[in-house]
Amino acid sequence: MIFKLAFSNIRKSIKDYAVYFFTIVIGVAIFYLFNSIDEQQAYKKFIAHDPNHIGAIIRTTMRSLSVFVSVVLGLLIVYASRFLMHRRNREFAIYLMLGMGKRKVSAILFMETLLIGVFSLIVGLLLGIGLSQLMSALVANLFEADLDSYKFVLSARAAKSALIYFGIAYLVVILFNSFMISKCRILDLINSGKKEEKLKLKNPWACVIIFLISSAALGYAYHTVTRSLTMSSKELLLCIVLGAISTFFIFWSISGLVLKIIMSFKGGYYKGLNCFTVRQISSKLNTMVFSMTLICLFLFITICSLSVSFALRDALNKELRDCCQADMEIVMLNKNKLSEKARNRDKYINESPDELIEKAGLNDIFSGTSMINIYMQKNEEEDVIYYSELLGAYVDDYYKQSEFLFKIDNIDKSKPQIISINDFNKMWTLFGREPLTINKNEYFILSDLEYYYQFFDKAAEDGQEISFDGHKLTPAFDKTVYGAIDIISIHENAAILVVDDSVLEGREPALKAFHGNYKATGKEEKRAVDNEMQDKVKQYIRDNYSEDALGLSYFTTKLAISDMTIGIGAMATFIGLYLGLTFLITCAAIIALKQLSECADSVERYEMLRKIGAEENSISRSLLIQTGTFFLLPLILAIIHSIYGIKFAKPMMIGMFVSQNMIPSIIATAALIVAIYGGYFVITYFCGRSVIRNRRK
Amino acid sequence: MELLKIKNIEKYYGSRSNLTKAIDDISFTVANGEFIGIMGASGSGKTTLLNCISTIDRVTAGNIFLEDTDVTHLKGSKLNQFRREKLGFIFQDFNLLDTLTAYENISLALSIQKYPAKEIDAAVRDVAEKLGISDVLNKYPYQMSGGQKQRVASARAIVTKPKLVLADEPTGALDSKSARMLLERFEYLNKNNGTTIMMVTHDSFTASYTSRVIFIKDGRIFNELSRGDDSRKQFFNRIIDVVTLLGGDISNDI
Repeated sequence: MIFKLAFSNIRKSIKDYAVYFFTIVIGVAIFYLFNSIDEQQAYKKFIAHDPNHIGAIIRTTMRSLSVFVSVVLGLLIVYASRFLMHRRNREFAIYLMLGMGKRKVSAILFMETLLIGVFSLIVGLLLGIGLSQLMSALVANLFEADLDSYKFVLSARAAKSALIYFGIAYLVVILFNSFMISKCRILDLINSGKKEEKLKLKNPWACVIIFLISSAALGYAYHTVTRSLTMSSKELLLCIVLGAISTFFIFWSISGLVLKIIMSFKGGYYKGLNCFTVRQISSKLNTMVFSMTLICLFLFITICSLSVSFALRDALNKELRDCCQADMEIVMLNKNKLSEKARNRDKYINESPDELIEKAGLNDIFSGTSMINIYMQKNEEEDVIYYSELLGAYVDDYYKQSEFLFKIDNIDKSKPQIISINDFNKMWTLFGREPLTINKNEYFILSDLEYYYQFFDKAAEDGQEISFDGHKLTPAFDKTVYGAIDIISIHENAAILVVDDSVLEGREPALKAFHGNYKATGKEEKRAVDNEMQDKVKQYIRDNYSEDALGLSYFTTKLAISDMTIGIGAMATFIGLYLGLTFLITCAAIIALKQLSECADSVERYEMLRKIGAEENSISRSLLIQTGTFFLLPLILAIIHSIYGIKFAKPMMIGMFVSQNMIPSIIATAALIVAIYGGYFVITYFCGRSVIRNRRK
Repeated sequence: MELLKIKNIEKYYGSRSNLTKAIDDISFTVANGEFIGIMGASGSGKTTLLNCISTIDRVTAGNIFLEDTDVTHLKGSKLNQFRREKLGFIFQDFNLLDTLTAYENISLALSIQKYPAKEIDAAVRDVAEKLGISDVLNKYPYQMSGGQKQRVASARAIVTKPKLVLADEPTGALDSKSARMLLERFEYLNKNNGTTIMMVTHDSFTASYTSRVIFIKDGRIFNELSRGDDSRKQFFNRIIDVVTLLGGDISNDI
C-alpha cells in the first residue's frame, strides 16, 4: 500500500517534481560525463605517451573535483526536497489526522524519494552515457587526437561512483525528511498554506544610502583588482569579501527601492496588472536577498571559470604555434666557459651539441640543422649593455607600464643575450624565414613580448644608438624583429641583441644552441624519432661521461611541449566546464524552485485577478515579467562582476604578456549560459503558468 | 425598467444515470436600481444561480439577459470583457490581494479596464469616501479589520460602475457590527447611487436589508417577498416566517 500511495503521489505532483527531477538528471549526467573522461579513446591515446604525467593529473583533478561537485549537488537535492516537503504539508496533515503514524508517513516519503531517486539516477546515467558519446568528439578535439573509428564509451567506475555519491545524497534527504516529519505538529501543517503575507517596508533613504555605499565599495573592489597585479593576497581577499558583502547589500537595497521607484511613475504603475506585478516582485525580493546573493556569486564563478578556461586553451595553442619553430632544440653550456672547479669534477661534456648528435649517429634523421653561439655579458666587463640603454628615451614609459602591471624586473640591471647575424640567419633559415642583412655598425633586437618590444620599436624608430665594446651601433631596422631562439610553450623572449660577427670577435660564447627539423613527417613518426634521438644522446653521454653530466644539457622537442600544452589546455577546459556547469544548474534550479513555489503560493491571487476580470494574457505576461526578473537580476550583476573578474584573471591565467582575444570564449560561455539558464527559465515559466492555471479551487 | 431577465434556466450536474438538478426551471427579473436577496439552504442552488449569472458557470438550458445581451451565448474574450465591464463581485472571504494596499486593490479593478492613470485617483478616493474607508487606503489587508476588508472589496466591485453587483455571502465572515455597517453601506449605495445589487445569503438579518427576497429550495423558486413599505424589522419578521416554513435549516442567529 505504501508503494502504491507513494507512486500515485509522484504521479499527482509530477509538475512539482519536474524541476527537481530535471536537475538531478542533469546533475548525474554531468557527474558521469566528467568522471568517465578517462575511458575516452582520445584520453587513452594521450596518456600512452605522456612524459609530463598531465593525464594522471587530469584524472586525479577530475576525481577530487567530483567530490566537491557531488557535495554541491547533494546540498541542492536536500534543498529541493525540503521545498517539495513544504508544498505538501497539508497532505501530510491529512495522513496524520486520519491516524497514520509518523513512521508510516516517513515510510511513504522514503518510498517516494527512493522511486524518484532510482528513476532519476537511471535516466541521468543513460543521459550521461549518451552525452559521453558526443563528448568523445570534444575530448578528441581537446587532445588533438584523430579518432580512427567510433568506439562506444562506457565507464563502469564513473557509473559506480555516481551511484555511491548520489546514493549518499538521497540518504541525507531521507534522514532529513524523517526528522522533519517526526518533529512537526498537525496544526502547523494545516495552517502552513494560510499565512497572510506581512510586508516589512524598508526606509527608502536608508536603502538609497546603502545602495550608494555598496556601489562605491564594489567600484573600489573592481578598481583594485583590475588596477595592479602586485596586490597582496590580503588585498585580494579584502576585495572578494567586499564584493560579496556589497552584492548582498545591493540586492537588499534594490528590494526596498524598486517599489518606491516604480510607484513614483504613476502612469506606469497604475496600468494593467503592473502594480500587482511590482508588488509580487518586491515582496519576493525581500525574502530572497540572501539566495539572490549566493546565486549571483555562483553565476559569477560560472562565467569566469567558463570563459577563462576556454580562453586559456586557445591562448596556449596560439602560443604553441608561435613559439615552436623547430622540431627540437638542445642547449648546452660551453665547456670553455665553465669554471675550473666544474671541469675538474668531470661535470662537463667536451662536445658541442652538433658534435654530440653526430657522434650519437643521428645526423641522418634531420632534414635541416643549425648551431648557434649565444653570448652573455658579464658584470665585470666594460661597456655592458643594459635593457635601459636599448629603451633609450622610453625607460620612463616602460617603468610607468611596469608599475601599472607588476614591478618584478629592474631593467637597469638586466642584460640581453647577444648573438651574431650569421648565427641568427642560420637559425632563421631553419625556421623557414628570409635571412636578414645588417651593416657592421648596426644592430637589431629579437623579441616576442609586446610588453617590451612596443618600446624597443619606438626606440628603434628614433635611431637609438648604443655602444658596446667600443663599437657604436645604430638600429638596422625601424622595428624589432619578432621571434625567439628557444622552442618553448609560451612567449618569454624579452630581448636578444643581434649584431655583426665582427663585434663579437674574440669573445667566448656562454651557450651553444642546436636546432633541428626532422625528415620524418606525421605525428607518430616524429614521436618515434623523438624517442630514438633522446635515447641515443643520453646513452652516449652516459657511456662517455657520468650520469651527472646529463644535467648539463637542456633538451626539448616540439612534441613534448605540445603534449604538455594540450594536456594543460584540456585540463583547464574540463575544470572550467565541470565547475561552470555544476554551478550554473545549481543557480538555475534554485531560482526555478523558488519561483515555482511562489506560483503555488500565489494561485489564489491569480484566481482573484481572474474574478475581477483580468485577461489570461495579461496574467501570463505578469508571470513572465516576474520570472524574468528573478532570472535576470542576479545574472546582470554577475555579468558586471565577471567583466572585472575576467579582466583580473586574464593576465593571471593566460600569461601576462599575451593579448589574447577573449571574444570567442565569451561567446561560447554566453551560448552555454543561454542554453542552460535560458532553458530553466523557459521550463520555469511554463510550469509556473500551468500551476496558476490548473489549480483552480 | 428591467436590467436582468432570467428565463427558464436549468443547470444539471452529473451523468444521465445520476443526474442532479442544481437549478430546475427558474425565471425572474431584476429591475434597474433594485437591491435583491437570494435565500436558501446549503445545496439549494443559490450559489449555482449566482455563478450562472456571473458567467463563471454555464447553464444547461434557458437564457439570461443583462440589458439586451444574452450572456449564455457569450464566449472567450467577449465573455471576459462583459464580466469586467458589466459586473462587480463581492465574495465571502474578501478576496483582496494581500500584497497590495487597499488603494491599489481598488485601483487594480480600474487599471485592468485600462482606465487612464489620471482618472484612477479621483475615482478611488470618491468610492472610498462613500464606503467610509478613506483612512485605510494606504493600509495592507493584514492591517485591517474584517469589516474594513469587506468594504474595500465592495469598493473594488463598484468602482468600475458595473450594471450589476453580485455579492456572495458578503457578511459571512463578519461580526454583527461590521455586517450591519456593510449592509448600511449597501443600502446607501443602492438608494443614493442607484447601484443594482444582487446578494446571496442564508442569513435572515442580512436579507432584511434588501427590497425583495427570492427563496430557493432544491433548485426551484419557493417563495418571493417584497419589502414594500415595511420597516426593516417588519420585513425581517416576514422573512423569518418564510424561513421557518422552508424547514428551519437557515440560521437566524442575529
